[in-house]
Amino acid sequence: MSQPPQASQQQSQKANTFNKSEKTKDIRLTNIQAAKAVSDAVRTSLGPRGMDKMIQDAKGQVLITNDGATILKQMDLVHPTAKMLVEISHAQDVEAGDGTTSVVVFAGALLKSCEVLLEKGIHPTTISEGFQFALENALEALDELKKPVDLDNKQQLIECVQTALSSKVVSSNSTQLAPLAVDAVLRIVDPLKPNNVDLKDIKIVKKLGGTIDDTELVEGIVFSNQKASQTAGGPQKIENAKVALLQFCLSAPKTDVENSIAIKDYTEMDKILKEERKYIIDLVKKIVASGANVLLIQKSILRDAVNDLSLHFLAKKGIMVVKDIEREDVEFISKTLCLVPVAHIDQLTPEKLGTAGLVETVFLNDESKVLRITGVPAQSKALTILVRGSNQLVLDEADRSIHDALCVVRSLVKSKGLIPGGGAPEIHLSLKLTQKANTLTGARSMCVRAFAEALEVIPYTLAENAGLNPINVVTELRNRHLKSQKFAGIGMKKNNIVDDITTEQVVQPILVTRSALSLATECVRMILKIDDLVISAR
Amino acid sequence: MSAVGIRGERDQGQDVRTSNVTAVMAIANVVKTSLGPQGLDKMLVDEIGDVVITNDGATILKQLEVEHPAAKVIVELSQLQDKEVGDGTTSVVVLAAELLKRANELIKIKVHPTTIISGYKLAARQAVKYIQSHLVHKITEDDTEILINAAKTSMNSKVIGPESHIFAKLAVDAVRLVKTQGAISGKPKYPIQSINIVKSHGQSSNQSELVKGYVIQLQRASQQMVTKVKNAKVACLDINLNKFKMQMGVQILVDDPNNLEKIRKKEMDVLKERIQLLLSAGANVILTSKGMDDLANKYLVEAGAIGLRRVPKDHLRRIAKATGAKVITTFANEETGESFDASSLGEAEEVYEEAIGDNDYIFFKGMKREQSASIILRGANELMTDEIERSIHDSLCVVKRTLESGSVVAGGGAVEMALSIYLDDYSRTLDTTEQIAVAEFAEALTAIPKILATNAAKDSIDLISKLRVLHSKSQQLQVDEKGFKYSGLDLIKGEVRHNLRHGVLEPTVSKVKSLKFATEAAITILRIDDMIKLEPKKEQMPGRH
Repeated sequence: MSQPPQASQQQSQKANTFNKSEKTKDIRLTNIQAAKAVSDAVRTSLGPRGMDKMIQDAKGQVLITNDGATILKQMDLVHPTAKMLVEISHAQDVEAGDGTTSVVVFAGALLKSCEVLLEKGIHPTTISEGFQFALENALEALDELKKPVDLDNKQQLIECVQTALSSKVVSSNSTQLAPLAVDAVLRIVDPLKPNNVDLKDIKIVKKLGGTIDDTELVEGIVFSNQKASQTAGGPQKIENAKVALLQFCLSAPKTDVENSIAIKDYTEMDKILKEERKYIIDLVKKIVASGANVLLIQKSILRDAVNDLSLHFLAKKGIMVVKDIEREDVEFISKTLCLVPVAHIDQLTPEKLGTAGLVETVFLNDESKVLRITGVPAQSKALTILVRGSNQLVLDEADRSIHDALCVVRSLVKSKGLIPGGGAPEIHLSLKLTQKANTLTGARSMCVRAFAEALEVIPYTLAENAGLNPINVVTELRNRHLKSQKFAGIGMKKNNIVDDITTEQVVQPILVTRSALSLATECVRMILKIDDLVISAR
Repeated sequence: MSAVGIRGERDQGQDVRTSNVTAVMAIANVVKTSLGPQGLDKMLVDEIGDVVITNDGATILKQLEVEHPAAKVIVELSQLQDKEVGDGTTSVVVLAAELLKRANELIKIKVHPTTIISGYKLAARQAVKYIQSHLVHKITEDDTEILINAAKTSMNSKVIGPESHIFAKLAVDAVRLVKTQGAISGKPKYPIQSINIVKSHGQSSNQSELVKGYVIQLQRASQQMVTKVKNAKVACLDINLNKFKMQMGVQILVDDPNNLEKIRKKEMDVLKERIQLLLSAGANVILTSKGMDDLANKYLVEAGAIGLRRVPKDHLRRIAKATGAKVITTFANEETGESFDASSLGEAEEVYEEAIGDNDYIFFKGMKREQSASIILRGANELMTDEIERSIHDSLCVVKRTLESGSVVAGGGAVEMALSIYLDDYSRTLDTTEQIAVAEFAEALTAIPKILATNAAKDSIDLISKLRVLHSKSQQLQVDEKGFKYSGLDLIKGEVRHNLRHGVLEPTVSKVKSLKFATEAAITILRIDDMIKLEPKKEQMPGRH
């Protein structure tokens, strides 16, 4: 492996710094440095006025986003500690779906205060415990801000989603996307398990073209890549559909590669032709007998899913054929249409069919086509969101934003509590913790105070990103909260401090903040406890 | 920021913005000189040596191999405009670049990017509102003159500019021919993709013509076939009309030489029977997307039918749709035998072959189901016909959009200047920091008339100031009797004139969309404050910087 001299020099330099174990204090500091750098990298994306990052990946693909989790995932960080921060942002994404940037920013701020505490000679374990203590207190104090959520009060939920979307590229469409996300999640809530929802039941289908305004919620299924077969002039629209999901092929069986059929007489030629037709006709007859009029055929790499002959017969019988259904979609389709996939023609019975009011090829406004299945059974618990966007970048970002929006609603379903946004909870907690710190003595008091200060990074960054003077904003917020205006926060509509941020409909699920605080604290405690970094040579 | 430790480069803050803006400006500078009626063409040579000569912004940018990610956004922008509107692809790029350049200057004097973004958004919204309320001129569907003028305006900048009177009429007639009623909305639709454009080089471009019917560049399968069939019954097949062969995996083993001949005969008979099926159903024009061999030709020649082979599938479908035929993929019937139903045949009054230039063309006329339009383009060479095709496409889009939106605005920089003045006034009613951004937006709009004038080798400063005076006057007046608000540039004489009256028109949709798209693209790029370029993957030890 020959490398250019410069690269090998770099490599040896790295090897020098890595292949020996470093001094405990140094390693802790470098770890903190690395993690802080990561948090600095995403902090400009925090909040509604946050900026975007443009990332060109190793393949040259360009991505524009301000979703913290996505940025970090794409950045391909190499430092092991930095990777931990990527992990927590991912964990936040899974748990709450939103607040992926704030968790990293907060972790960075906590680490910064650790540095100061470490310099003062406080033992890492004490700091770690102190932070844990502070966290417990913070979570308690957070509940003071909590407002109960009523899942029937849609307006409240929509406001919440709008706050989450306000920082995204698609923020201008939030009035449209927010109700959509709320409707989607509320529809799939299972009355038996009212405290959780499975977002897998919402399929997001992306179709390039149109604008984000054309995004819609479909109670049913939309296929953007698969189409109803047109080759033999098959139907494009079927009402009162009986849908069968086939996992076998409708084409003549082929001989194995080694075998072949030998013909000795010309009469046998006719026979072969007829046999093939007969085979297909039998298949078609059985399908007709089952009563199915829409066939979804799973993708197969072994054989053609259909051939001209079967398409022709099915078209004649007025049966719609959709081929190339992906394996991973099978479960979703079964769930939505309440059908059972059929693996062999003999098992195709009327009970295994799903029903749908309407299956049709729909022309979207820009003349592209999708296949849409609507009028699904009432007990069906799955639905589709069809996302449109004028270019791939916007489309992908809209997809991510809708995912975030859905997560926000889910977190409200999970823990039914709302807190104000706009930096209000952080300032509130910070004040409470400072008061708490004053009642304590020793190193723990220092740690709690440091934790309280770190919390202020969120309103500080919000203000900075919005082009406000962060120092003025944070101090004024502190002041107001001291006067027990505990809902005072930064309003982005007019870029000023608002007495009650909830009047501007800036609210977020309590789960987001709770999980962000816990995740960040845990991660920081872990980083603190590392005192050695050994990289095994390869 | 080395501590972040990524494999690749990272730029932040002002560096990114400046580099983005530079890249975008570079792209805009490429297409800038092609803007407007006096704009010049570009000759683009790709890596295999193919030459394209064009002044269509979208085409130029598509050919460029752009690497910078921000520049790619701009290229996509022009592609989007092309797709959604079909015209104005150059001006949208120029406008976006101008907006970005001015935004960058503002950021340098410490205006926060978010302020600029909200200012731009506000300005674009106001501008669109103003166009709708003040600048549009409503038209009706029958207003042929206006439609022709709008088509002419879009062609003016193209190579066919001098012959625009011919082509504009062609475009308007073609769009009218394909008009259909929308199935659901009931609104008329103009599916311009069903206008078939056929290029044949030779003769001069003004020999181009519109044919009512479908034209396709094909030859009859055999020279012995008749060249013309009246009262045609059209069969559209997706079947191979070759001598029958057994499929893969079937071997024919012959041990008796007598059998050999029989098998051969059987193979021929299968084909013969199929042709017979078609002919007995009454078909006399047979199209197939697959092959048709000599044997099949023989039968067709005997029956006096036209056979066309290797018809591209999309053409086959369109012909089937227009004649009312069904595309048949197999002859098989349910009794395991073969049959052909006469109801699958389509009808046309006549089908004939005619040579235009060097090539033979098949004409379908008087088709039963729907009218279709084909435009035959002539030109001195292929580069020319290609460019004419692009220009015609633009004009067809313009006509379609004009008909759909039912309104036009004056061209020649009129809208831009009116908006510029309006927004400038509007900015003075804002007491927030957005004022400065709105004012810059207003100033950026003047870039279009400026470049128009510069490209025409006119004194842009002089013309712009005259234009500004007229528009400003119009907005101060209660009633704009003389129509000052339609004042635009006359780039031939180098004067300011009433462009609505002189027939320099653009569809409203085009202007509105290009404003919206340009603003959106500028904002997308403005929002970026960090650019991370990862190195292509290679084996490397995990390390830290």
